[in-house]
Amino acid sequence: MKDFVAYIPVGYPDMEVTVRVLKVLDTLPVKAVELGIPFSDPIADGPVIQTAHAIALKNGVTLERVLNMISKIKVRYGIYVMSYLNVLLRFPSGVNELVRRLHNLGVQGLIIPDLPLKEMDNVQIDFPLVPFVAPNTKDEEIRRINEMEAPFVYYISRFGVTGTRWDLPFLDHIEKVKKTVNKLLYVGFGISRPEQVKAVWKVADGVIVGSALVKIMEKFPASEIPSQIEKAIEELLEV
Amino acid sequence: MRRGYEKMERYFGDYGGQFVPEILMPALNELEEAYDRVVKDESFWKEYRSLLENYAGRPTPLYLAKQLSEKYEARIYLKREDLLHTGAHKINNAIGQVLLAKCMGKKRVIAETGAGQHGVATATAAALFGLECAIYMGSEDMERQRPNVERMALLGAKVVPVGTGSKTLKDAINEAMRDWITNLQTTYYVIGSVVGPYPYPVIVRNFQKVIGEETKAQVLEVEGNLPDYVLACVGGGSNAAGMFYPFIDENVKLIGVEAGGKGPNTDEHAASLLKGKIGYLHGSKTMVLQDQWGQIKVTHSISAGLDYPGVGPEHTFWKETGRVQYEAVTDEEALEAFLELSRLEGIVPALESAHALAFVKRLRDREGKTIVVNLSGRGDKDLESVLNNPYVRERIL
Ligand SMILES: Cc1ncc(COP(=O)(O)O)c(C=O)c1O
Repeated sequence: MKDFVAYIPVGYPDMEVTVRVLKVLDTLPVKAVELGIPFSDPIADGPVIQTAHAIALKNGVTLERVLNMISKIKVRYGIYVMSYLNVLLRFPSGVNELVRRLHNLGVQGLIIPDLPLKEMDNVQIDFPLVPFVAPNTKDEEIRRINEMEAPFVYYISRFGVTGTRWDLPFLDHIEKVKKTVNKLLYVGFGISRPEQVKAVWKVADGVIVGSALVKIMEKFPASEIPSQIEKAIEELLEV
Repeated sequence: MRRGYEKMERYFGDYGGQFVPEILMPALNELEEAYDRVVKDESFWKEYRSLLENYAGRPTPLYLAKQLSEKYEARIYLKREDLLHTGAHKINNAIGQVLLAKCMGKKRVIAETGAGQHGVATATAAALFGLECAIYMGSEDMERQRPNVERMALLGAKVVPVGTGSKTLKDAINEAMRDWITNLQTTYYVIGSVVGPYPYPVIVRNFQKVIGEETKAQVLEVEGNLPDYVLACVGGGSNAAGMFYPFIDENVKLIGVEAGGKGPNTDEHAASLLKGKIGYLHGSKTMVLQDQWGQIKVTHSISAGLDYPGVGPEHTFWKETGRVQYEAVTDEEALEAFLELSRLEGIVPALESAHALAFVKRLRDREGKTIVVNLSGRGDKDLESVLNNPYVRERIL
């Protein structure tokens, strides 16, 4: 078995459910969790995660509240924070203070969907950033990653926004990237079935599953969400 | 005044850049390379200029508005972009970019639209070049600019309603970007203003600068010197950038007018340069209306084309360097100017353009000055919403 990473939009359907889900995840073989901070204009996300962002914002979720939540939960898996750039750089007490707190909380890295490799040097965020690689990323860009300090590389496995469609498995390219980069390679976007997990594990170090879990949060009443998430992950891992 | 970015660069001073998902970077590089290629290709410009002239109706007149001039004791010229095919300056950019899309071998074009003018212009250019076309439009804007929705459909474009967020221009851009991310190989995204990631702000400004170049020559011919003031409305900022750019190194006062909605000191306006903070929206580092947590605000303007929480990064640069002065006028001031131009000059302006006109009244030292106002579009699309406006009904019906 290789790594499994879960994407959880914080505050969807509400903060209490998020906390319960995070506890359940700790009982499963989950390597890391990406905590999604809501943003008003999530351009890299499809309808499922967009709705989650909108509802979380309505619930009053802010980066400050997420940091407080992280400080209260005790879990074994690694925590990453996923957020669009504007929310991080506009943190009210400044990005340096944000970085200091992320560091103290033991957060392992930031995942910023609207920060491409080419602009990473143009923002002042002194914290490990997760670089993205897409099926169309140029080889020389991919090689640049080897000089960076990064906890893992996020491979976007299709052309499209987040969602549960997986029509273009770029397995050959993933395999090639794996040979090029000297870091862990995790594959995300559109992974929702056990066969896909199995296929990706053959060529990369792990999978990231988001929309498939968020769909469960959409479908079931709050009280059932943690157990349904557990069930879904067990099914995905049955390979 | 140093221009400093004549050659293509990713930033205007500190603003601009390419803050987009990694998956879009190859597409932006492809666009940059294609644009660099056509810039050097005389046959591209020949075709572009010929279309602007024979299809779109350039050059547009520079009209000395006598009644208006008399009333405000100044020499007020209107740059008549409203007379262009499809009714606004947007066609200058749409023809240029769709031609570029064609050169790149793309089969499909998409665009966002607020007022519907850019959507109509893109649908028109797509019809002309035989490309498939989809236009994203906020559902609130579809309501208030209905004639343009019908025109786009007539031209063969698919109009996709966007019901997320504020259901206006910002959300239409989000949705168009998502489409582009999904259909990169076949699709060209025709951005309608000087916003978005580099190289769009440069490309759009360069396709619009014909407005300022013509104005400069025309005003020199009739006045013998350059104007004292040049005014344009600012939504994303394309008509203003196209008008201002050729005047940037000249001794001419440039004023961009934003949508003040119910008042720039209320919470309901779209005055990004006046009231925004530096942020990151739609691929660009620029002035953005946002709350204390970096969430983008829902804006308000009576004019769908100005109802946007961001602004082109070049304007942010011009504001910071002090080269251009930015102001805001309210919905009511714009409506008043809309009525005034209709009654005094027999010209019905777009609500967007009415914002630029409205500021003439507030120009304190206008007496005896030469003032050019960019009339970026005509008001046919706005008749329904203007005539249903209580403020207007009170006055004229
Ligand atoms: C007539 C007219 N003027 C101005 C605008 C605002 O756009 P920009 O600021 O890019 O010129 C629009 C946008 O729809 C428009 O239709």
